[in-house]
Formats: sequence, structure tokens, C-alpha cells
Amino acid sequence: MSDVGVKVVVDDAHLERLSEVADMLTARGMRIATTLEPLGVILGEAEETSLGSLGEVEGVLRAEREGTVRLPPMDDDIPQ
Amino acid sequence: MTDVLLDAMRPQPTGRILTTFHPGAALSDWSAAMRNAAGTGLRSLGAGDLRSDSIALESLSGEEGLLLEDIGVAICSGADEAAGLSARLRNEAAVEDARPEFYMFDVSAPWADDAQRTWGVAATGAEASPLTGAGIRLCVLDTGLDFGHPDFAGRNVTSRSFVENSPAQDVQGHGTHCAGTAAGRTAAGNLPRYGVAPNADLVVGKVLNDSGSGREGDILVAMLWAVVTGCEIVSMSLGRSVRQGETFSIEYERAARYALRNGTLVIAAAGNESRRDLGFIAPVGAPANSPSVMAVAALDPSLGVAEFSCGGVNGDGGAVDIAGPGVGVFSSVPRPRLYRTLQGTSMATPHVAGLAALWAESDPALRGQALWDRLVAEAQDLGLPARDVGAGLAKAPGAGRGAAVA
Repeated sequence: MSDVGVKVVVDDAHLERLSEVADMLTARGMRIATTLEPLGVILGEAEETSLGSLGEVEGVLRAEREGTVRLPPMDDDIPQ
Repeated sequence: MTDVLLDAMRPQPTGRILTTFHPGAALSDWSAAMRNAAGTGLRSLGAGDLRSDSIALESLSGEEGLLLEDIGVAICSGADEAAGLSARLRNEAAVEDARPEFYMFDVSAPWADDAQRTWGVAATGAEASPLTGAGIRLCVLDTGLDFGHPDFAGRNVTSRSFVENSPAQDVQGHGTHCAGTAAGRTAAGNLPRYGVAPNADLVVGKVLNDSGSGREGDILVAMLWAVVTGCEIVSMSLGRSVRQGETFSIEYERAARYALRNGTLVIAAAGNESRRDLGFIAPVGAPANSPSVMAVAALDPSLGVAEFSCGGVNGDGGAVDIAGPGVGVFSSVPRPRLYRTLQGTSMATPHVAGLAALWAESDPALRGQALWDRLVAEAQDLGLPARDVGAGLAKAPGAGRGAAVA
């Protein structure tokens, strides 16, 4: 099992209790890298199979693989 | 809403009638037909009359129709009953067709680059504005910047890379192009001005790696960085496509609301997934689909919506808010190439960001939501659906207004 980047979004009711949520995420195996307090977002890494378990933590709106964005190839004919 | 706009664009009748006669019929038949249906005669206008200076084309009275003899077309007054008169004329054997005359408007000449400025700098009014973005921190979150590009020499540039193990130096090129449009230099030598806010303090956050891809977490962190370091504007020519009916992501919405509360306006590209030539309009992508992020559509040099530009087909904040030049956009790219012309909502977005910097410079009260409101209020109505261009083409503070508040 390999680790993946994980983004956890906390619901409005738990925005003031991010550290409690973070503790519960840690207890379920997530290694937390950054907590973005104004956004209610917790970033880190975890095994992909643990995403379901992380999503069941109280106060978690979504626990998912961190998404990526990708620009198209640099080309005069391809809209950027 | 769309119906109202379509009504407004419908051709407007002049009240006169254009009659086309059968070419096989004799001139006397044409006159007889006109007399039968309209009760008036025909005054003939031939090629010889048109060459003379004496003919007064505008003096078309209700008494007689004006016949363009060489092409068999007559213009006559509708005498307040254009529909009935058209029908009577069409019943005449010598008449091929009769219909209301419409006002014609000039088809706007497309904008073009010249030696002084790019078409986008001209069409947005940035060229004519006395404002240059001085003192305004404009953040571009992208692939970085070519710090050695001669056009950015001596400029006040702050930078930070949010990409692991990668300096903020731009390799891919997209970021240098976007930064150039937002805040590149004025005209010099034989190159036009391509920067909308050439004196803005450029803040470069590298969130996309040298292959042009980036992690959402880095983008969110960089957005917060831009806010806490006092940037008035964040320009994000990045995103991902969304499905029909998909709603926005709350984390981007929270980031944009946090920004607005702290005096920062977040502007993002609507996306390029439409195929309007095939009748397909794709929804505005993320994060531009967050209600508190200003979504930018792309215009071509005729000020029509670009065929690739995403539209406001999803509710819930998925609207297009405003539009900017996004086809045939000349700007900077990393050495050794230095310049390139590109297209996309990525190119439209930094135009709007640069214009936002001009407005922010014009009045210190224009920050956050107030800046958003002003950009939308001052946008040029293009007579196109709001779904496609939002409020229309973003514009710079005019010379008069700028002078008054500067």
C-alpha cells in the first residue's frame, strides 16, 4: 500500500475545532502536513485505503485524494 | 433574459419598403404595379443619375417611390401601413418580393495589434488610461516567471515557489505569458505595450510545476499567502473542468471569501472546454465556478465570445462574471523565445487582473467586493448573452475618471 496526498475538508460546525479533528485524523493514520485554518482544510498523506475511514471522522465533510490541475500542452493552436 | 437580449438584437425596421421587381417585366409594368399597390409613381434613378452630383438620395417623399432602375429595386414609404402595403405589392405580377427595409449597422472592425500596443491593451481602454497599477500588489499564481526576461529587468517582483524542490523560475512558459499580460512593460523599440498594468508590483507564486501541473493543496496555500502578504488582486489562469450540474468546491469558496474579507479579489479563468462551432457550451470550471471567484470568459478581436470559452450553464456560482481579450494575445515567454501569441481564458484572466489593478490604484476604497462591483459595473455591454460574457468586456478607468481621482 502506497501513501497518497490527502485533502480533508471540515464542515462549518467544526471550523473552530480543527485541532480536534486533526487529532482524530492522526489517530486513523493520516500524517498531517498543513492545516489551513481559514479554509477548514487539512492536508497530508495517508494510505489510499484509509480515505473511507478518514471521511467518517466527526466534522469531516470530505476526505479525498488531493486533486491536481494540469495545463494543456504549450501550443499556439491549443487554448490555454 | 436571453429572449430580451435577442429582442434587442433583432433588426429594426425603418418604416420604408424595399420592392424587388421581376427582371422580365417591363419598366412600365413596374410603375403600374407601384401605382396599383401604393398609389404612387416611381422616380427612376439610373447609373447616369448616380454619377451626377445633383441627385438628392435622401429626398424620398411619400409621394413617389425611388426606383433603382439598373437592379430593379424600389424604395418607397410604408405610409404607416408597411405590412399591408408590402402584402399588396407582393400580389402584383411584376413584383418578385416586397419587404420592410431595415436599419443596417457597421460590423465592428476587429481590433488588431499595432506598433504601440496589443489589441487587448487597446480594447480594454488600458492604453488610454492614465493609471498603470503603481503601488498595487498583483499576484499571479501559475508556472512562475522568467526572472531574466529583459522586459522584467528592474521591476519590483516578489516571488515564492509552492512547488516542492522547484524554484519560481518559469520553464514551461504559461506563467511568464500571464504575468506579461497583467503587468508587462510599456511599448519600447519596435515592440508594442502588452502589459495592462505595467507599473504594478508583481507578486509571483509558482503553484504549477515545469510540466504545467500542480497540486490543489499548493494552490490553496498560495491563495492564503497572497492574501496575508497584502495582494489586492490574485490572477489564477488555472483550473479543472467540471461536469454539467456539478457544484463548486467549498474550500475554494472559503478561500475566495477569506480573500474578499481581507481586501483581495480572486480572478480565475472560466475554462476552454466549449466547442461552440459544434453548438456545445461547457460549464465554467473550478475554481472559477466558486461564487466568490470572478470567472473570466475569452473574447476574440471582434469582441465575440471565443469558440472554446466556457459558459454559465451550471447554477450555484457557475456563472461567467466578466470577459477579457483571449484570442491572439501577444505577451512574454521565457528566454530565448521572449514573445509568443497564445489564446485561451488563461490569457483573458490576466487582462482583467491588470484592469483590476488600475481600478484599485484609482481609489483606495476599491478593494475586495467593492473592486469586484466596480469592474462589473464599468464593463462594456457587448450585446451578448450573460451566459457567455457576464457583464461584458472589462474596461480600464477612463481618462477623465482616472484624472479626477488620481
